[in-house]
Amino acid sequence: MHELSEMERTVKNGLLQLEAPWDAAADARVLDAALAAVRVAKPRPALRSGIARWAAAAACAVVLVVAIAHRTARPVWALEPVIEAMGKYKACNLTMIDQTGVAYDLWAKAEPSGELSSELTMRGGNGSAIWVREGRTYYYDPRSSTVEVDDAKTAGFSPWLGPELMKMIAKANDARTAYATDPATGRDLVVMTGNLATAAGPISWSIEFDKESKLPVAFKQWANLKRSGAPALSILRIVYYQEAPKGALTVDVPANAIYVPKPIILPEANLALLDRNPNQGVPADGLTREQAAREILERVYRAAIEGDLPAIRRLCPLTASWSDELLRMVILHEEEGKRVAAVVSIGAIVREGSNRLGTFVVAPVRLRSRDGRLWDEKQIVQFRSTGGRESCVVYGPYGMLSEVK
Amino acid sequence: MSIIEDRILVWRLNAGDSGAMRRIYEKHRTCLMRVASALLNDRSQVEDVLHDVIVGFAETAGRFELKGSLRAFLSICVANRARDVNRSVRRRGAECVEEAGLASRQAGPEAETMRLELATIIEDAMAQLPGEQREVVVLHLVGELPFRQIARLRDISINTAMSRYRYGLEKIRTALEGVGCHA
Repeated sequence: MHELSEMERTVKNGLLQLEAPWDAAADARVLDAALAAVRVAKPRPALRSGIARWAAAAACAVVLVVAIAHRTARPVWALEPVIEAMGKYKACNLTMIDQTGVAYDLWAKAEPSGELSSELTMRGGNGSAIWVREGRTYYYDPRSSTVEVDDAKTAGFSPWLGPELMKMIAKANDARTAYATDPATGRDLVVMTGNLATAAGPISWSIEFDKESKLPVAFKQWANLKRSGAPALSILRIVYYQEAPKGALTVDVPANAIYVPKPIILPEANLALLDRNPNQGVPADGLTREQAAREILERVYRAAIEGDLPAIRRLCPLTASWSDELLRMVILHEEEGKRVAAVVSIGAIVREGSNRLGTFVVAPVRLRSRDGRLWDEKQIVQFRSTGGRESCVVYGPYGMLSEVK
Repeated sequence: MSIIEDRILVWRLNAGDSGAMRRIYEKHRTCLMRVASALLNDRSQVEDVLHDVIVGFAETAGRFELKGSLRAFLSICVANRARDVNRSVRRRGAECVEEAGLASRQAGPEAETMRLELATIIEDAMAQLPGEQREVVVLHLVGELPFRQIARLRDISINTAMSRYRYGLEKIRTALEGVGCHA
């Protein structure tokens, strides 16, 4: 505003004297109507997907970290001290922010085996919350006071931020390693980058390790393979604990919240990979969905038991671009003694959904690993129609592997 | 800071945070009320105009993109709505407008003080201005929008906005001088 002349000031003062009939009741009427409009307005899709995106990010910490690791023959930076440094920590607290600017506080505890996360709680600055208890994952949306429930562990860390994870990093040969110094603290950092096509969509990442303590301290993940654009998720700080403080994982959700099953949404980028090649998967003509799902799951686990990597790629198109070493690590679990020795059972379909390709189903599988332990896993089987033929492919796991106690 | 706060509020509103809507309303209500009061021929319509603008804005929660100042945006929305209301009142007949203006004047405090007398004269003078001049005068003096912003939001050149303002102000000056007031 320029400096007002006397004339302008006179007119302005006159205009400000014009008073409208107004009272607190008018305020209440306008404001109540506005608040009601906000309640029914459709929230921004980017934000709504924030939880899902984070969940995907958390769930694919598996692949993510695996990915960092995949194919490395000789890392420039020795990881053994990291493994030693991280092995003793069974809880962690992460401060993170998604691309819409929502900040999250995450607490996670490792299972006693130290192989993957058990309980987890994440609270968002927008009032949202995600928590994992007893193999189920809960997503609370404060706008609708609804809790969506996944009957699987779809958020968490597998492997846990520990030795196995670091071994995987040590195997990544497409990872890039750089060295830097944080000018604020003067601490030396080691930055590792990489990318992978995962069940949650294509991702790329950058992880910072504190060179002295050898612990990961920050992390960024992009929803593309090139680390282009704003990160979908940035973990700004990681604090490690030997045990989680009492009450750290507590969640407060209104007692009147409504619990509903969480829909399974397969990313479009992945669907595009599933209907390219009609020769992938197994024919489903003349079979019920139950029969077709059982057939393809039997085949894929047989391939895993026999170490038949081309068959795994053919039956699970998302792994088609994965290296042999990555497949051995993620699918066969060769180095952990967890390699599948036998399929104990393939259960009846527990869920069904649909997308542009057709129907998909979720079927539970119980496995025995070579070390004698039993594991439960749920697999998503996608049906599709290509070249006039009905067939199905294995999309990937629904949630994490969990050990049968 | 105010603009930064508005951006955060809009971001929170887009996330469905009703607290942000409340804050936006409380923060900008006075300014919007003044703009509406100065632009409407019938001030009893102020609540309706504010209601329409604020609720319309709230309905965009989740997809509203703030480009520039939120106050400027809401002020322009109020000006648009006031213009519509004035047009519809005009369609109902000039007598009604006159009656409404008279009624609102009578309903206010008696013009006993010089200040209120001046306000009444200015109100009358404003009522005689072409809508587009009146709008620029109100948005600039009451809404405190820079000419650049008015021009952008109205899709006119900055020179046009400033000309409308000058002509409007000149007519008010003439009206004031006509009743013996000299600014």
